[in-house]
Amino acid sequence: MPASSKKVAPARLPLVAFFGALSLFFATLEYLFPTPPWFRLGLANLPLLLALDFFTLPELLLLLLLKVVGQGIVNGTLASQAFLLSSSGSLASFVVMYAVFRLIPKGWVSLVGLSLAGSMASNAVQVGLSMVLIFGPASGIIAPWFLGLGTLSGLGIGWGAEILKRHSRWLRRVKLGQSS
Amino acid sequence: MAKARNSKRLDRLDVLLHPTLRFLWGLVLLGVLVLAPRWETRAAVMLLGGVLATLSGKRISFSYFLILAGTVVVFHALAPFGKVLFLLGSFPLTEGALLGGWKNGLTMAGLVFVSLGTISRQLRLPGRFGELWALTFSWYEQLMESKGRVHPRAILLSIDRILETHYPTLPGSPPVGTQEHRPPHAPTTAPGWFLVFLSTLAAVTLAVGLR
Repeated sequence: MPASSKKVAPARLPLVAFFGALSLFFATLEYLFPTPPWFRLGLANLPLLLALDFFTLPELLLLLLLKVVGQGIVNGTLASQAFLLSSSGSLASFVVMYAVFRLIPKGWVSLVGLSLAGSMASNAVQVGLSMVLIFGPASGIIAPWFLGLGTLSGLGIGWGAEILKRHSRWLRRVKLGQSS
Repeated sequence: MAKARNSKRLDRLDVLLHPTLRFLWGLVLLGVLVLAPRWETRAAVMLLGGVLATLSGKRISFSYFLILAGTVVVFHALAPFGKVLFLLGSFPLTEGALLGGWKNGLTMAGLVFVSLGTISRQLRLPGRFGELWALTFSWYEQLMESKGRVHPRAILLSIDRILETHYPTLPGSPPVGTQEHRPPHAPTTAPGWFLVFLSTLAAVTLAVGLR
């Protein structure tokens, strides 16, 4: 993370926007994978996971906002319960990932661990909201399935992010550009 | 859910309505949907939402609607209240639980359909966040055009090349574009205003008349 400030640097705004676009791009690629209608893999979180190392907290929050509002507009779900669930899940996931990233010494937790923590937070919040707002308390019976699938997808996304982080030359150059 | 991923399908409402008016119209319909006391009104608004979503080029998946509404009804039925209609073995199926579940299911499906029909990709957001969103959306569209260049056998390399194309980082590359210019959207046409007025009047009249 840039040590310099806790502000949004105007020079980094295009990169924040580009990571936002990447999130939307990955969200669209997600449709290539067959999943139950009530479940999403959360591929859009992959750029957010990688961005933890690039941006300040306000920039990350801006990226999160671009991701959730962008998904709402691109998918057309901005004014539906799907948006509420998705944005609450994304926020919970971000808060947990950021806390783990900042509080635990570097090198102790990989992107797989961060992604898993975020995914569990996101799914727990979405299950809770679904029970309260949509399906009622009886829907708790599907919670283990939902959380189980969420754990698997969290592991997969973390693994993908770890591979990208290690092998992507583009990411390495962007990071070098950020630190210089 | 409706399949919004096929962006090449024609949005027939886009030629009639300005995205901001369309968004506001959607909010009014959503208000009627959520506040209407009778399920018949909610069903009517949900159907209207389905028509609007189809007109806007979204493919509505009726299996999604059935699964969503059905699941809501089943889960509500598991918590009985009100008059017992009949017994399933020793389990009482109650009028209150079924009606509550049905109303909720219609509302949830209606929220998605109306949202799909009235949220346009051309919607401009105000302020600096709106400018940033416009830039993000422009890059998203460019990335989508490069989707065919993702090769599963060399996925990292191909993704890296795509990223480098749109956000150059190599020494000597041209600077990254920070401005996105979209021409202003055409204003709402007379048939567009008519559609908005008529559908809103019908929805509100139904909600008030069926109280």
